[in-house]
Amino acid sequence: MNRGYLLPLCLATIALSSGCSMMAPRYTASIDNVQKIKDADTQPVRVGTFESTPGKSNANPISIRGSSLASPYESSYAKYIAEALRQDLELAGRLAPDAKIEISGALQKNDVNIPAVGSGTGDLEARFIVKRGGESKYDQVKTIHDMWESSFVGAVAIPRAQARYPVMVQKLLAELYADPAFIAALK
Amino acid sequence: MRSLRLGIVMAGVVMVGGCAHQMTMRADVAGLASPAGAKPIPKNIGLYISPENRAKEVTTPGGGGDKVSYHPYADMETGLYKVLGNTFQNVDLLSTLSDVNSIAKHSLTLIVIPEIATKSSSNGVFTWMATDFTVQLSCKFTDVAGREVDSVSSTGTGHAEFSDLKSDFSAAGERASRDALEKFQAAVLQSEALRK
Repeated sequence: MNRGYLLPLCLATIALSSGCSMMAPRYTASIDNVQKIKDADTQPVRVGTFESTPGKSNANPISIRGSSLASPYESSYAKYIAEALRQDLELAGRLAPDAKIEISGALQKNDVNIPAVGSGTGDLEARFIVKRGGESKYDQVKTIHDMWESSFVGAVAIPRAQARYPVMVQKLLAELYADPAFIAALK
Repeated sequence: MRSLRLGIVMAGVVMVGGCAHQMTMRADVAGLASPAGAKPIPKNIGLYISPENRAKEVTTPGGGGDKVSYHPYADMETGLYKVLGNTFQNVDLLSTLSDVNSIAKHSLTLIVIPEIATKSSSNGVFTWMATDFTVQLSCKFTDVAGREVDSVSSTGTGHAEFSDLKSDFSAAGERASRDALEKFQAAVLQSEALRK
């Protein structure tokens, strides 16, 4: 074996399997979610502030096999949730910056785990508050636990986990939009 | 020593060789704005993507002998919805082509069915990410009875350097997707057949 091949191969292996600083993909709405809001015939809504509740399971950045995954929205995953809501509402034609109804909240749990053996998992938990003219109409916590096929190989498992983050957020928001009390608060 | 070298090489091959790596080709929807002064087509349109296409995963070449895999229809669905919303009075998602309830409820007069073909390649020897990506988007527009009204196609290309790809593995695909959607939007706005 030529030594010349060995060094670059090892360097590439190390570079691809650990220690990278990555960005989560920007949010892309699920059209099923958008259509749900559209069909619900709700009032125009604005998106307020989303805070991040400090906690061990509320990671920022997220650590996946020694690589760090940062939010593309000012490095804040709470802002990721706010942006996701904004995008869903805008595509549904229900976003209005001067609306009387405001959705705000807090991200309470945020983590992705890809063990060397077994499935990749992701957890999100957020509190959603709906206020109309300052009066609280809805205040509930939504949680999701996501699972996907992962791999022992870091160069396969890490991109798969990275690509999964927007899907996790879509699932969290699908839980919210499926709640009749939330939809009623927007009417 | 020889067995140690062999072990390292085998580990390297397992870790970087022959795998299909997940990427996406989702365009940044926030950047898909309607062109200034554009007049939307005053019709309501339904977007239909079959469940088979939505679930379809495609594998094409990446770098270093590796492959990349992604879901073209699921990844482009939101961008398509946004662009159709920019170019028509209203857009709604159809669950089936015979979704008569949605067609009636949303007063749809047109239905659009996309076909997506992709190509990828890489100039990287030691990295798996695709540095070049091409998206061919072809959409058939029909009336609600299934008669073809027009067909609009666009081709988008995207290139990314390693400096972009090290933090965003999908940069080339995302750029190609956005390019295809922007060209598609311009072509739809110019279609006389769709305005009739």
